[in-house]
Amino acid sequence: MEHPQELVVRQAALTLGGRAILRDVDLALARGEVVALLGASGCGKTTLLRAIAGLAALDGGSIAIGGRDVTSASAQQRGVGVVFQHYALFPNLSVVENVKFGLLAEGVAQATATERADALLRLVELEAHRDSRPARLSGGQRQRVALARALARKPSLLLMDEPFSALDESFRIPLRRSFRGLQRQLRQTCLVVTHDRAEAFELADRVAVMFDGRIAQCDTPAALWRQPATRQVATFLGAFNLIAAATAPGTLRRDAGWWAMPQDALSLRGEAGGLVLRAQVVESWVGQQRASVELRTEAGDLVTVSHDLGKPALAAGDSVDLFADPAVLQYLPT
Amino acid sequence: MKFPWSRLALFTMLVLALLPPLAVLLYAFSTRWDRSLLPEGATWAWMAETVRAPRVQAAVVQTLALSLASALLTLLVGGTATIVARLVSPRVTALLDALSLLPYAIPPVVIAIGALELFVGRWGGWLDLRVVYVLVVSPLLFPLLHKTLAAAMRQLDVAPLMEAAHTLGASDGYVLRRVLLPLLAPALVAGLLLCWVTAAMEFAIANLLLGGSIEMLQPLMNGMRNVNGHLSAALVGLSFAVVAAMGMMVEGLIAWNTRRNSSSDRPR
Repeated sequence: MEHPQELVVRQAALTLGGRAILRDVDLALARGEVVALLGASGCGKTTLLRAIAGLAALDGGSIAIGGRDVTSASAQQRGVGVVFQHYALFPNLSVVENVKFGLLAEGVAQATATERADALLRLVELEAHRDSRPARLSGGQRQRVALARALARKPSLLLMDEPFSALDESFRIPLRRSFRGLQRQLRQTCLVVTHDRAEAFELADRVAVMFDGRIAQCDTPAALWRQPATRQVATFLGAFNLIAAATAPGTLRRDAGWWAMPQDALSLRGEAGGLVLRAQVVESWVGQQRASVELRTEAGDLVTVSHDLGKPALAAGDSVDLFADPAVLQYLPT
Repeated sequence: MKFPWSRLALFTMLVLALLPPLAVLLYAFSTRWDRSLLPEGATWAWMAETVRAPRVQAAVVQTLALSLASALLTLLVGGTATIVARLVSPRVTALLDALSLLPYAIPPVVIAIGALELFVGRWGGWLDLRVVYVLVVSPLLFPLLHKTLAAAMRQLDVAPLMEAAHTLGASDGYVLRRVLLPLLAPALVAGLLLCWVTAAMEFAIANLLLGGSIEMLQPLMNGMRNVNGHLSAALVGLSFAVVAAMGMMVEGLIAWNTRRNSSSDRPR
């Protein structure tokens, strides 16, 4: 029987030291799909990944991989590949021995294991370093060895815990793009844990935003940008302006809730008839190409707009009118 | 100018530490030292006689063999316990940490008398005394091995390596054989040599438990003191040389391992 869902997590719950780390988490990954678990430190994303890998036991709920319930299976029996945050390469083994490790552990013949390892090292462009020890490699090379090692046993599911966070930014971006290319080539199902929004949105087909042990929203990047489900998601994504509905002007006023709009939908120029907010500049932050201006509206909401560096600078205390098309506004009850 | 307290302290420490062994060595190489403050004449005779004496040779062989057996037993049982505890549970590790303090709390004389009572007095004769000696000394060496191994495992940070190996489908035995034991080999060898040296220098249990049946180096040294002080001093010098050689082996091994790691692990 065909199982289109490679990973299904149902009602996963886990408590550590009396604190609930995972609270009834539901998550499903289709075959060949990449999902990013995005959240701040301590939200439970790494614990969820560890539970899926079999490195942390659930207190409740179930995990199925490839249609097989693995909730009580050990890490050895799950058949998943894991790339750890700090790679956890075996320091006494060469690059090729690291990649072969899992194959030899499961009883694959030495020659077959070497052939597979060499093929993977070619794929990640590390064949020249096959006999080096991990300590002799750069951070990016180690990351690719860890990836090759995790892929060696052809896992149905690849789990990656902050795989690019230990790298300099100059290496991080090309490396994650090359990983995405490789993932598409292999059609590898992947769950990536990250706290980096840009990384999550670039790598994943869907992004699951986690808070306090729960997945608040799991959607495509486009849908997340368009329609954050809650105020918390919108705030975390950092690309929305929120105004309190209770103090919103005219027909936008509600008893409770928030109006969200993408940051670039609010500007210093606009057409009459749209939403107009009177605001005062609090602070202006100069970026690479544009300045980010923080303003407080008359109703007390803090909003941010982008401002061309070529235009007259805005100083703290300046009063301006902000414009937005009401069509971009989205009402968030919570 | 400030008074050089630190230099004075260092000098005092050196005098206190070096004067007794230097005096013993001088005594071993002097023809006599009983008529004036300073020794008289230089001679190799005492050292040569000590080396040639069948009684000394037998004691050296017995001591090296029994101390090595004790150290190996500690390595086998204590080493396994330390490694497994570290991998299985922090609670078991904490228990072993506490257990490793016990040998310091119980005086070796008490242990020796207890062993005598058990294996010689009450139920005597059913176990070879050499086996009893090894079984009694081995737990006393456990703290040395436990601390050496625990420090090495902390430095290696073995938990992530074990987790990575488990996700690759490897059993604990496979990870131990392919990764942990090779990484811990220098610490295991250093711990073994430390245990061996310490066991070889053990006196109280060797004297009380084996005295009269099997002659060990330390009790022999003590016994010879009453017969010929020069011979006893030569034996001390000899055993010091053996211990120094074993110590240099430990140092050499650690230095070799450090050099090997730094040369093969130099980042590109």
